[in-house]
Amino acid sequence: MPRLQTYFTAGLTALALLAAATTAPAQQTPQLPHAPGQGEPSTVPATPAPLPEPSLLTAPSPGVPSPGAPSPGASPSGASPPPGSPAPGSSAAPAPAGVNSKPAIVRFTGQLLDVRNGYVYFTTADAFKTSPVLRVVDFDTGGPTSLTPGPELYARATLEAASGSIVELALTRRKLPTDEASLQAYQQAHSYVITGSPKVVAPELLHGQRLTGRPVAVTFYVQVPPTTSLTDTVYITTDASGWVANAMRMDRIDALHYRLTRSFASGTKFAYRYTRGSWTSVEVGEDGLQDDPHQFFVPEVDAKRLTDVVYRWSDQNGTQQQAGPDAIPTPFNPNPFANLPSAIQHPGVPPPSPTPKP
Amino acid sequence: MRLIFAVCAAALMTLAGLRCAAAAPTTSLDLRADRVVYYSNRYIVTGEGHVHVRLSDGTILTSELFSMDLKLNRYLLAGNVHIDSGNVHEVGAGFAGYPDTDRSYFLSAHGDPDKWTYFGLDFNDQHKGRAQPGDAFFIPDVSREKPYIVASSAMIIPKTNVKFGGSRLYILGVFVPTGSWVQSFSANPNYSQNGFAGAAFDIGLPYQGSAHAVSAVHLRYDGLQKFFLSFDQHFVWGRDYVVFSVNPVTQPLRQFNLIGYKRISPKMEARIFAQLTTYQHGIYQPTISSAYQNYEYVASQGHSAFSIVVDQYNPALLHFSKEDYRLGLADESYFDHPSDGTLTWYLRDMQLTAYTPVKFRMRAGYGFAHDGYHCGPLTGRCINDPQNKSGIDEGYVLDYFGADRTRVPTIMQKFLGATLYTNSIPLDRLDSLNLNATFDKQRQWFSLPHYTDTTTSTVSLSKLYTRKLSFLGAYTVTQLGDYYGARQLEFYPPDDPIYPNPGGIAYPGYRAFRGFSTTRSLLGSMAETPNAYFNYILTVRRNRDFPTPIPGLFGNAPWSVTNEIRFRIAKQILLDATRTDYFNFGGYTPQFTLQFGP
Repeated sequence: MPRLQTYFTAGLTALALLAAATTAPAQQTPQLPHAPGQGEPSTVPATPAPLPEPSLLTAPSPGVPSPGAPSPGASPSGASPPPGSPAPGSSAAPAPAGVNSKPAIVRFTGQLLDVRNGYVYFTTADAFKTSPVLRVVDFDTGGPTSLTPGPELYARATLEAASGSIVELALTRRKLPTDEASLQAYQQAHSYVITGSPKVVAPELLHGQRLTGRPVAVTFYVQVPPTTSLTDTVYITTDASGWVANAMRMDRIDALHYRLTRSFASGTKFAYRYTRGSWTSVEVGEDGLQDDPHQFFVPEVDAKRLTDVVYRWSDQNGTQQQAGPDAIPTPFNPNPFANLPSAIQHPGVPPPSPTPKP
Repeated sequence: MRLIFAVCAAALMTLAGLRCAAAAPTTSLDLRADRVVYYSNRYIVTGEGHVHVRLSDGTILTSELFSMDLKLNRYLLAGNVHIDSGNVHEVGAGFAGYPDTDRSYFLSAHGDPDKWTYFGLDFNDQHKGRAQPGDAFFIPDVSREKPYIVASSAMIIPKTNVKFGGSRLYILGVFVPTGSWVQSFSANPNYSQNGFAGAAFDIGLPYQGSAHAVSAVHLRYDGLQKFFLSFDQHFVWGRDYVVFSVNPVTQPLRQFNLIGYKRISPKMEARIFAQLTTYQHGIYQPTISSAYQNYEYVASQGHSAFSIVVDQYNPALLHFSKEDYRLGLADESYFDHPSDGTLTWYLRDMQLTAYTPVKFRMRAGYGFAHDGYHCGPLTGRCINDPQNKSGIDEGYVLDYFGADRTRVPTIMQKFLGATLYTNSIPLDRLDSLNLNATFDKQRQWFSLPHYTDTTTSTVSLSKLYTRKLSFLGAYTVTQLGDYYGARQLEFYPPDDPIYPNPGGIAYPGYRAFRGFSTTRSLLGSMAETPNAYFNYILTVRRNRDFPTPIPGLFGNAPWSVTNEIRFRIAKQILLDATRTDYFNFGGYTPQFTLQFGP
């Protein structure tokens, strides 16, 4: 029995090792050089490509400016620069000459994530040590504040270089702006970031695309079926507009083509379909079957043109006349003359009365 | 021994569980907080104070702040974060969930700060130091956004919908309590299918939802029934859906609708639409009840597609007897069950020849119409109909089959049609001047000496001066012919029919009409789009119709001018103002429409 238990233990160990091997990261790369002030490796994108999926109306989440990744611009939907960005006025007080090239005091700003166990965490995911006698003051007055350090608050941190710890946090609910000087100040402070484990590359993040939310002029250009009437209007319906069938009206540019230009933030991803104003006149595929919606992702470019083809409309799946009941004026041809009334009376024939029809 | 096997089995199950957990991201987030807010413009849900999130595997996350971008499909917990999952209990500053990539990122506050990555929901295995997205702990700034929904809880189904509990909805400046509210943000358009008839006004109030279902009450208005309530229930499974609706619920004239769609295979689909119309107060016995069903089946094969469409009509589902017929409570149509069906073949677009820019597509079909025509109020009452007050045989259309006929037998029909068209043919080197031409013709034969022809010819010239200014000129001729051979005059007699409106307007232009109509339309339009925020379109149309139209009733106005201006008045509001003036059309009133859109 002890031998069996030994085998069993060995088997369990093997299974555990197997499980660990299959769940471990694909590359256990040794720690990358992480020079002070250099921040994240430049190959690590601020926002990996497969992640963002904002809508037409949603600002893409711009990458938070780690020192190696400058702050993205504002998005058209009003997204402001990301938090965690240093504010103007952030500064580095020079150290006494001949003592150290680093300043003695570094001031930088950012958005707080938490203050816990002697550390302050910013939304950049950076943690700094706090002094045992941390002062918490009001950002504007420098005096006492009723605010308690916590998520969403913005803070100007005063870091003492000698101890490598933050000695003062000036809190405000107001969003603090970003400029080049504040970025530099943050870079200086970045060398004091505390990290517990050596850095490991995440392969899934290496091929991401950096997205800034810049406005991109997107032109939709669609070819419609030749049976589309010249008086018809073509619309684009999207998931961002709640699939309202006539959300975005297109302009006809010739007998077969419609066009629409709209500005979207880079990183925006949405699904869309073409309609003639209702869901009964939505596009169908060349094979006559209902297609999945088109998917579009706005890349980081100045302008983008989308070219689509609508082969059929769902209400034009055949133009034959259905010989339904109560069809007049002729019995076998329900309403052959679209521009004529369907209920013309001839002398001696009583007027028709409406009946509920689907 | 049993103990050993039990332990062994438990270990294997644990390992299997871990693998499953790692493989599947959370399918729901059950959020509770002091205040849950939804910002509709940004598709962001936030939770503030005593945040408690339960993931689909039972993991409990608590924190001070929660934020989820529904479109990005990522969420964040910040401030005093606790993870409780099985025997795992961790404390940290932030937790970011990325269900799409099956990763969770954690800022550990256990000892020295550290960055951990979890694969899926496997919280037993921390990948310490692994690189994280630069904006993983970015808190979206919603300080300038207006809350749309304030609630106490939210059940978030990623990529589908959110069900808010204890919700209040921001409407016209006030928060209106709604109890619960389901906000859909799915990229699946099938949640937008519904079987309602049109209404002038419709507000949906979705109150219940899950990963595959949404229930909603609709407040609607139309000129006939005024304000009323309707109900619809959606079930969606990817491409497939079923929608059941009652419209209206609160009025006696009621329609019960059922829409269904099934993608049988990548090359086959089936649809159903069934409608029951009743006139009933509450749940009492209806006094009117009729039904309609439509079945459609489409299949694709090579360059062809086939469809089968079948309609079934039940004009009266209530019981009627010969006595009812004698008393005039029922007519012939009440005893009929008309149906029709068509099998259609479509050929995909083909190039006519390799050396011409002409393409063509074809269609053909075969079908039937059964019990479609009979003596009745619409087609005229037969001489033996007790309700025939005129004393003459009004069912003149049935005379074709014999004077004593009360029903038309089943009619078979077949058709063949083709469309020839050119893609845009550039007429200059800059591709700014383009020519298009389209020709469509179809003939439909019936199982009688009768057929119809439909011919449409269009030629158009378009000129793109800049990317902002374009012109289009087009000429269209549409010809329709309804042929009865030697009996043409029986169906299109040379008289002056009356249009059945209250005034009883005569239709003198019809006297020369023998079943052949022609419509000629010359259209010119100019579109100016200086930027993405402004758009002006001018359209002038000249029509010549035969038979002559009657102003305001039918037919096209000889001249019409349409001015349309579209401009963006806010970031998400587009104003579309259109005015159409008609000329030489009996002083017909201009049409003016104002529409707001996203």
